[in-house]
Amino acid sequence: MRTDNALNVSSATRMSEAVSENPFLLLLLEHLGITLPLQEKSVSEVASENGIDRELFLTFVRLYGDLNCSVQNSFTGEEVPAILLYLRNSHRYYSDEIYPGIMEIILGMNRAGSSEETTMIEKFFMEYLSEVKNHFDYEEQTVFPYIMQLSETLAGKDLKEEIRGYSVAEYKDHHDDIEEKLDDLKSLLIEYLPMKEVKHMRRMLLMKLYELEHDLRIHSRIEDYILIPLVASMEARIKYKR
Amino acid sequence: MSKVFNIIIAEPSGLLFSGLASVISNSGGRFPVFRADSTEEIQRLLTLRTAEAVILNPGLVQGNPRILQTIKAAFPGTRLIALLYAFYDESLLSLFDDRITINDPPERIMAALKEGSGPGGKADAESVSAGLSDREIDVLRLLASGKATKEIAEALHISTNTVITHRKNLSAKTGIRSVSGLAIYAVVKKYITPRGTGI
Repeated sequence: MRTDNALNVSSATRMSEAVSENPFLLLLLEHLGITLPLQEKSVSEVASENGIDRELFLTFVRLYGDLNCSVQNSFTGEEVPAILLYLRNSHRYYSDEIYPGIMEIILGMNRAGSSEETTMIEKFFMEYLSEVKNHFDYEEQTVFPYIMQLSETLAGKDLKEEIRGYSVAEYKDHHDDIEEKLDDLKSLLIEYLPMKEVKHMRRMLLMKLYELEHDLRIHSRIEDYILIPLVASMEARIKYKR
Repeated sequence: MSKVFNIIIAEPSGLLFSGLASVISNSGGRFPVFRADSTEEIQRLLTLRTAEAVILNPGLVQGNPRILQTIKAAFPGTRLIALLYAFYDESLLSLFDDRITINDPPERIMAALKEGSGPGGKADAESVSAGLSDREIDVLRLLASGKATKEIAEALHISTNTVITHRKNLSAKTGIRSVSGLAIYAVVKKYITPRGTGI
């Protein structure tokens, strides 16, 4: 789902105007723990009031408008807590809201007329969920704490022994493609599965999958374009310091 | 979505850099672009993260073409691509793996980046929507029943590489990449009964 963002957002743009133009920004605000109403505040005011680096916030806003917008890599490491907050909250949004919503529709399909197809879709989705859970657990239990440690080390604390063996290169390798199965599910629903008796449910399911995909794509961009390069440069700086 | 494919661009002109970066990011894949302003910076970036391709203005290495060989030797998996908008000697250009010009259409630029091992390489290029061959159906049935590549190779008396090629073609033709997705496809198309699947 690509949002045509007619508004060229700058730090002086009114945040409420940006949101009216692109309602997906509501998710960005939520993932960063920013609550409505926005009053007359500008993009940069919203950022500073919530203790988020302005450049980072503007980059996020732009990514929500155009997934392909160019990303400056001028971040220093101080942005780490906000990036991790965003990623953690979006995990929560998928797990608590989107995935149960999708499961609900699939179970509804089964109730409406359980067929081999819907049973297979259910199994397929369960399998996807367990992969995603592993991926999120790995990030939250291994990667994110490591990144926090790096950030604290750069701020002057001692590097803990247990994280010395780890590096972000490993994260890149472990960065499983959780989007593959999602793409497959969409292809199956659009191209192959007959499911005549639950037509509107198929549409509802597809719309939910697109909603998820839209946010997941931004999520991956933030990891690939902002977080991983930033962590690599933090690692290099720590190595240099020693 | 495809795998992440890192690209480093070393081009002094900010305008050309931004233009090229936008062509790359509009191609739809996941191609993080990093900018370098010197060969030292390229080497530094390459040691930090693997990059599948480096696009380089040959002007940066004209005075020291041997640096290209050094980079190639240290990072053999990285393609070196010359970005041309001025004339350079063929002896210098022959040190690159490929070349693009500023007049090239986006498809040509993306092809230069992906040639060889990159994502969406050859298997995708051959992608056709036509039906599956008998051999592909054999592979699909075994795959859907939960067999591993090696077991499929043994059962069909073919090499594991051939199995992998069939598997790639199956994904290219159906648009489905995961084994469990292919298993559902096999049931829908009645190549296999649901009870026969490994899922």
